[in-house]
Amino acid sequence: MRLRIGFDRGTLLLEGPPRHECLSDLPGVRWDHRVACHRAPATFYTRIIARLHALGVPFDDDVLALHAGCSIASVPDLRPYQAAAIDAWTLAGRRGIVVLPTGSGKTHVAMSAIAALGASTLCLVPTRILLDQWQRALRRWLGIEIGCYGDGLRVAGPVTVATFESAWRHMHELGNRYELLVVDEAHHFGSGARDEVLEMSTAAYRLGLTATPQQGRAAANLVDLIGPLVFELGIADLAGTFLADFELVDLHLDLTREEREAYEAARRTFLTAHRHYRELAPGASWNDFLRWAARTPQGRAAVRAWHEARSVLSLTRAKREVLGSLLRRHRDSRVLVFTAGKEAAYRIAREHLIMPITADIGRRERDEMMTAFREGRIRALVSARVLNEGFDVPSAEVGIIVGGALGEREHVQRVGRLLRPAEGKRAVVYELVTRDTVEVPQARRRKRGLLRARQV
Amino acid sequence: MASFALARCSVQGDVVVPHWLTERDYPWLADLIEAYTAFVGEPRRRLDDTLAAQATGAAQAPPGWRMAAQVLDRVFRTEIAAVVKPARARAAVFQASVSRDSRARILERVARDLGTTALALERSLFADLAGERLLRAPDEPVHVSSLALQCNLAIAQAALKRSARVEITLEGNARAVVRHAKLRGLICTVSRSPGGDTTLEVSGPLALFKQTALYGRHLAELVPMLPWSRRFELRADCTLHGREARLTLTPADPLPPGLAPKRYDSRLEERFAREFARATKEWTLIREPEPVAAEGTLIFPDFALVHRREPHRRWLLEIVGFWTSGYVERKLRRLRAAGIDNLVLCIDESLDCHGVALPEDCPVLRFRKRVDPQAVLKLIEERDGPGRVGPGVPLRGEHQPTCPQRVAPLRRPSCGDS
Repeated sequence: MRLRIGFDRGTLLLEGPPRHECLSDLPGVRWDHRVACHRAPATFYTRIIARLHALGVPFDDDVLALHAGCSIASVPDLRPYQAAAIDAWTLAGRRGIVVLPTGSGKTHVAMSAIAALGASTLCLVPTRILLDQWQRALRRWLGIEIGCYGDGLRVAGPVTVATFESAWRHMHELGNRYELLVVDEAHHFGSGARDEVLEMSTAAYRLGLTATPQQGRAAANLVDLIGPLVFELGIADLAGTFLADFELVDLHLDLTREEREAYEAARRTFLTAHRHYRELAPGASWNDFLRWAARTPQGRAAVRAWHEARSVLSLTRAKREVLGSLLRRHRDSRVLVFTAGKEAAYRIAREHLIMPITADIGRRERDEMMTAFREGRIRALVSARVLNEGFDVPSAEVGIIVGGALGEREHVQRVGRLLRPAEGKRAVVYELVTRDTVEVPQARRRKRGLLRARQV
Repeated sequence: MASFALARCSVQGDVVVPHWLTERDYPWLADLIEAYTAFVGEPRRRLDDTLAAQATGAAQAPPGWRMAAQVLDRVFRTEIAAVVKPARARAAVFQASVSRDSRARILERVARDLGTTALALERSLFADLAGERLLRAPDEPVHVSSLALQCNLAIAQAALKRSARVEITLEGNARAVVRHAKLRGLICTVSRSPGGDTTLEVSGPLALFKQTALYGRHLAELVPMLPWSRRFELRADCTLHGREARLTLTPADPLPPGLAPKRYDSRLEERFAREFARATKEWTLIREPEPVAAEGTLIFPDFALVHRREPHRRWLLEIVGFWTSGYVERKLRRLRAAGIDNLVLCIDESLDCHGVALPEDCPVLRFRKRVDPQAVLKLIEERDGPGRVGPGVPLRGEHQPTCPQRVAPLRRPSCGDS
């Protein structure tokens, strides 16, 4: 009986082999007692085939059930650095990660790769908003119907876009249908969560895109799952040339007396308990602290105080006033407002009658409002988290950061929203920082990445 | 949901200890139901504020109350109360706010266009948000005992969601578990101990390589099926709080039974049963007979056909939906090895993806759309020789599922009791 390799729900089954011991030596292959066959994760497909050819073992290959490829109507013109990224990826055997700053046209790089290969392609994106945006961009450039997995839809096509979550649930049926995997915001993978998505695919070609590459062990895992880092370009290489130039304006604000009293009292209560805990358990995590705190009245009061302090800062009187005057001053520009939480976003939405974009708002309405924003029918959007990654706003000129305990990476991505090139555009980013509070070091930390980028 | 329920599972050594809710928890569960009931008809956020205050209040909230609240969230649903459809209100107001008018003027103007007042319009703006929706009374009153059981189910499922493989030893109702595994694309192997117990191992293809959470959701769905078996023991290796530990569930654990297992697989089978009864008076048709052991696994025939006058003439019939030639070959090999030659395999011609010819001499009946009773009768009459015996020994305890003992509904203690 000849060796037969088939696809089984995200894995490969190797059936009816003449010599078992030779199969166990193949990359990724193990004996599966449950079905009395050899089995391997699907990602080993190309390596196993290559090895069998090298060994001269005859076999039947029933693995792939590929979607027909696509012939492309038109390909976007690439900027020199985008073309260089594609060349580097092609030279690396079409497996690798391309690092480009937000706003530099990562989608164009992906489309060029899809068009050049003409192969069936699965694009993986982290959020529902990106799902929609990729679909639109691909449809526009490739001129074909685009498949979609996620946000309630399950339609496969020669080029399909899927959210990470939906791909994780359906890779068992999608895994052998695509030759090319495009992974947007690839830094989400490599640390274990959802890695199955990449492990269950047979795709020989893989392109990872990110603005913020992973470090350490996760980076090493990504080499296995997608490929090595093949091209990297920092935000500093682009600002002023391909990205709109931007101004950073810090506005230092005060608390009212009542706010200051409430803030200080809450802060004291929190710090007393927190310092006490740090002495007991140096190096413990925030979650450890929360678990510990839940057990005593003082601990619970400390957690309550922490929330109170945050809520005082999220939308202070001064912030509300400054926001009002900034919105008036930039009445004729497109403005994006960022807040620390949903509650503040809704308060601003009610007070200034600007549209909130949050996960609570349905996809259709979000779409309509974003289109209205692009077309200038509404002037501003306010958001807590949804706008963080890859939300495409070609012509926002003003950003106002009202609050947010975000990391450096998220901050770069937020500001990146504003840096989309437009005719004669100069973006302004206001950051509202409350004096003598935790916001000062937070803002400093966040800005480090941006300043570093500009001073190079 | 999972994280709060997960907090009710601790790891001691290499064992998962689920902290079930019991009668001791009835007083605070009753308080919680009371709290929900008190906010019926009001915006959901008022209830949320009360619950949040409880979480950080001076008195320590009972462990598990957040999980219980999440179970109640599924019972107490919410509804939108708005004069203008919120999405419509937003589109109108936020587009109108491009103008240089004051906030009040804008609201008034839009309200007039929509034929309502500024106040009503403002209230409608976000009436569809989770916090603004009004809490609705449940269809049926919630009993404290059933709330406790539902919480326990959540606890067991939270642990199982973090497992890649389970092993279930059970008496009765194995069929439902096997069918569920197949339906969800899981791998199920069956073995029998000398004592006659059936042990099922359920896992997914990728579980061979890593402790993946990919199959956890489907494995967790097995829990409500267990109480329908007379005896069961489920063992699962879970990754909890960063540690590997084993969860064991038995009938001693206070778990609620789910919906009764479904009796029939498909319309195809229903139709065959109906048509077969009409086609012959000679044979009796038994649905879902006992499973048959064959080469380390169990085969679950869909029907047994017994001749009325000569009961030793007994045939088994299995309708195979999805199949490949490899699958049919393996199955036939197993049947032959176990000496079972009275099983007719009905395979769907339209699903043969490889077009490989099957051996001529095996009792395989190809069909399209419907299984023809006459064809089945013809096949078994041809093959029936004298002196036949029945198939492998029937498995102990494989009968129709019986209703498990339900926990008697307890009187809901009033607040004064606690």
